[in-house]
Amino acid sequence: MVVNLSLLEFILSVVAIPLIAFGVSTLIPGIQRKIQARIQRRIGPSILTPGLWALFKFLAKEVKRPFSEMPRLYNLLTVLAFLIVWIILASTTVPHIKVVSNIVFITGLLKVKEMIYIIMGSLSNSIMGVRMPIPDICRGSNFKDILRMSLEHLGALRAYKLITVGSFPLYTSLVLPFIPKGSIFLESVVGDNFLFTLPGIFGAVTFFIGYLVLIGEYPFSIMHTKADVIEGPTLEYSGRYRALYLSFKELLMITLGSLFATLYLGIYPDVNNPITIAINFGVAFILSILSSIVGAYSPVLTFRQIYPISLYATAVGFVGILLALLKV
Amino acid sequence: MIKEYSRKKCIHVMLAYTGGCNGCDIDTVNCFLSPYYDAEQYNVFLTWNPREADILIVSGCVTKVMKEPLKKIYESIPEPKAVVSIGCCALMGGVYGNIGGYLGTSDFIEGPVDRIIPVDVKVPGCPPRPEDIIEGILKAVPKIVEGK
Repeated sequence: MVVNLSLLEFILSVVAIPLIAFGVSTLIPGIQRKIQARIQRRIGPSILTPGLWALFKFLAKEVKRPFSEMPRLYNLLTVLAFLIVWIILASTTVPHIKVVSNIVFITGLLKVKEMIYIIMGSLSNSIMGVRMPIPDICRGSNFKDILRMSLEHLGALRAYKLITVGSFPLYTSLVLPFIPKGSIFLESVVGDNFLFTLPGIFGAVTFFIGYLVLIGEYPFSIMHTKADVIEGPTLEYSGRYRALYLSFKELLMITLGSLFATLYLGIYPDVNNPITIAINFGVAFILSILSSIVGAYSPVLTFRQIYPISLYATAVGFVGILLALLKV
Repeated sequence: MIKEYSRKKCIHVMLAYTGGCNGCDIDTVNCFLSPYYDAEQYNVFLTWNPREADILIVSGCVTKVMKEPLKKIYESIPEPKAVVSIGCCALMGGVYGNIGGYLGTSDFIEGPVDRIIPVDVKVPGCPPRPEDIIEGILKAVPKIVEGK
């Protein structure tokens, strides 16, 4: 594939498309919340509220100094996370630039994004954080010498477990479309519909489970489940940094959807072909709608349940890899 | 203008329980998550994170152990913020305040809430009806919108 983009087209690809994606992604939390509310027989909030108006509201709120050893670094991690997701999306728009649009680069950045949660949790230590109440220590109970973990530390530990185990399905499914091509570059999979092949179907199932794990949606929201750790590593963000964190989450959902469209449908967001951009965003919306439906019917899974699910999903992915290797 | 509009269109409410029978808490959660009241349709959301909250709902008589945590939770909420105190216990100590009977008030409580943090709206009742709680929240909204 030979693509010659002018400088203007290149800038539009790496800046304007992610910007439009970000604008569109502000609708996703509202749609998800609305669907979940309707499933629970409620009316639910307006579609623009959880994504768009919440963003503006947090931008106008006071920034409180987080309870952290390094508050500035803790706050700046949201900027880094947002930039990483932006770069991943931008890299899919220019498949002819092989340095950035290859699976190793994208997987690496996704791993960095996952690592950021661990760093966030390690840096933060809020007033909501002490797990063991003080009177228990005073009474001289057996809990006296145990490690007292804050909610954020617990969230970080869970993020670490999710990195080691939970994200296997996503990475298996990301590699899958490249196997028949024998290449790691996005350019090789573009234009080729991989979804409607046998390995493609296995890969899509694995991708969806991996997608749920990576965005921390129910039933895989153990890292920041409201039931015990409230928000886990991101508990302490306030004001514009919370707005940035919200933007990062929204952009991540549309980026993963766009990645699916690029790898499995062979349609990358091409600046010269607006319909491809619409298809990419459409796929991202379909994935987020499916995830909200799954989330509405799911409990929060504990790691004892996540491990086997991750194992089985990865096994499905490996069946897909075998089929791809055998060129079925 | 966008600032005021966005504050009006998205309100996060945090519930802090400070000791009591949990009746007020059950009714508050009922306001948000039950299909009958569904406060989310008015774009009011329940949260447990003070950094995200706009309005702090306080229930319970505020025991001595809970005095400092309540102050810290209040201080953690970014401006603009408002406090809604709900139920008899939060307003005047309720049955826990008078638990000593003729011997006087209880030594175990620090409440009512307005002795510890500034309260903007008071919702009486034991427990208050969900309609009253929603009305109390809506009465606190102008303070959030104006940002004073």
